[in-house]
Amino acid sequence: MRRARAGAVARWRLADGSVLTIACNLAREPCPIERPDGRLLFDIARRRGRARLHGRLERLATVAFLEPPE
Amino acid sequence: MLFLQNHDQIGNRPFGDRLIERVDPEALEAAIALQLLCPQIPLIFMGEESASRTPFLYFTDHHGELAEGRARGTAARVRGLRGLPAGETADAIPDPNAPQTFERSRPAADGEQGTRRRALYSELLALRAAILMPHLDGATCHGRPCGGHVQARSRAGGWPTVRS
Repeated sequence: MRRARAGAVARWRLADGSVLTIACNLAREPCPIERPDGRLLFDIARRRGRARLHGRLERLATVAFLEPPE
Repeated sequence: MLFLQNHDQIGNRPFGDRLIERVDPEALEAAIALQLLCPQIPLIFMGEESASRTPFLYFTDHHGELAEGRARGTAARVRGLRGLPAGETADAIPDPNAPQTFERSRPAADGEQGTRRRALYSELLALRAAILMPHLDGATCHGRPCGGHVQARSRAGGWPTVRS
């Protein structure tokens, strides 16, 4: 688990070997983030019509990625 | 079990106010996404899914001596409360044993945010059911079983501390 000023990234390995990554930023400003591996599962910024994930996680946002099994 | 709020937290506030009355709606949406996509079992408190603003008041159904004792105990407890909302006094706290206190706690969808919030819950729960649920049994975090816990703390104006 890594942490930023007000954001956190957590990963879980699921039973089939895939890796679930969730990043959450509860600050009022964007925070830098390294794009996780895998396909984008959910990005709340998309629902809000905001910019996609490009090196930063939007303010008050959560994204989830799923990396397939090796 | 993972929840953002439950009956203890809401019902023990003097006026039963929910998280929606206390935080930015976008922050709440981000927290909902985190809650519903984490492997832990999510607990959705009634009304959360429709952005309900209905207070969940502390209510009881006591009779006779128990009701009288409860009323005295509640009165004594609220006299010592601090941090009431501006302009409110302990006298305004609803009587837990009054039927209308219970009736006032039936959750209603929020007219402004209800539809949008339901759509968010539907999307996240559908993702959870289709993609995550089949693979959660036996999932691990940090190479350890998910029965371990993560503890997050934050300091006002400082950096948050996350421990696992």
